[in-house]
Amino acid sequence: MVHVEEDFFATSHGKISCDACHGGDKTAYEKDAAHQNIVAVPSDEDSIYCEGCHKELVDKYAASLHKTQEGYFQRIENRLGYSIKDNATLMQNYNAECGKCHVSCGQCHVQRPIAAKGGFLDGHSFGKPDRDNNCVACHGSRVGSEYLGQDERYYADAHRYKSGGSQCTFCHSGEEMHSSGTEFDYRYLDTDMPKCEDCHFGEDFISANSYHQLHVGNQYLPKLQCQVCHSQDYKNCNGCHTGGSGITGESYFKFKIAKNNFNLEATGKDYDYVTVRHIPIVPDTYASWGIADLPYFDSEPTWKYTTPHNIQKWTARTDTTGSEGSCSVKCHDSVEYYLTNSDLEAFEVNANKDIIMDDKLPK
Amino acid sequence: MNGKIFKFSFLLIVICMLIFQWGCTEKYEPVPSKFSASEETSCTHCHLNAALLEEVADPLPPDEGESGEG
Repeated sequence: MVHVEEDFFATSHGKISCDACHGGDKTAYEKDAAHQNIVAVPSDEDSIYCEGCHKELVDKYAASLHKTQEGYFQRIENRLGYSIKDNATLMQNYNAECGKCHVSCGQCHVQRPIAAKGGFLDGHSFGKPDRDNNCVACHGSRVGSEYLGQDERYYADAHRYKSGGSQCTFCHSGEEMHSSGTEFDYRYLDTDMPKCEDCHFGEDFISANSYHQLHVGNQYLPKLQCQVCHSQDYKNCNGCHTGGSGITGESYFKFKIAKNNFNLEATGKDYDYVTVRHIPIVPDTYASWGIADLPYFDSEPTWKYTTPHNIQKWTARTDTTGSEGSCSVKCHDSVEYYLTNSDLEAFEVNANKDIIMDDKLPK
Repeated sequence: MNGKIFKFSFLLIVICMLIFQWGCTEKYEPVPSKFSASEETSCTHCHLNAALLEEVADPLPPDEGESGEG
């Protein structure tokens, strides 16, 4: 139910006549008549309803992955061999399922995202996004629960307890969310994304300990993504199916390191080894759309570059105290933490051939 | 005589109006509006009134289970 608080009318948006954004018939007092031609979420058409006052933001946001979902489209195209955008039936299916997860201005600044059941944040008043009702409402099953320490046996991210760290905006700025206007088809290509190195850099950081010197600051040795040492185990998912079944496989906690063959050098992610998370794609993911199989399934790994949000100073990798604590046992003589063929189902072996570590354990 | 009838009729009309108004507002408390009559529309008439909305709102769709993007 759409209950507006009177306080809204004291705000700048509250000065605008309701029908200027929402259409409908403001003279009709019967529900159906009043809702004739109603525009429930005006910001879905931000170029009509928002641009008049927020042109710069609207122009930039047109490139945001939150709006375009180009990451989804490109991955589907890569595995399918053609774009679904030219197929009306496939687009209808897409919009009914994956497409529900796009967000427009209002779904961060006025209400919970519709994909998370909607509902006003503050009686229709516009404001900054709320961590739990906006960000985590969509990004809760993995990074949200990691960051907040909601996964049994694992700690919350160390940054959560920094001043200001309880909010996602501690790292993820408005500029990043609104986009700089550059289009990407893969989220990790977004140069507006925060990086650990934005705060943790310089000679003091490198010389802080011998591990940093060896694994980050030595140009002759492989460079590690920070999470390789500092993240805890994280959730991996299996078996996503369209048609209403959703995730049909069991999720599980694992920590896996793989070769960085994700073409991210342009964004400064020039690490040799990175953490990877299993995504739930399977050959028959889109079977309910009439796509029985994905002809180019092997074109994309099923373990993808990831940035777990559960950073700790001391992890199973960095804690080298105790009898099992030597570097060689943990990382240089054991395959436990590395993605190998034994981690893969038969149908995904070829898809991950460029990132698995079977042929080379770091010495 | 006609003057008395006129005064009585007028009084009766006023009393009836008060009674009917009471009857209407018994069910839906009038929203303490900050609007002048010229600003109030059917939008604000309904969407500021939680009790009325609760009565006419469509039920929420069934839960579709786990979803979300990472």
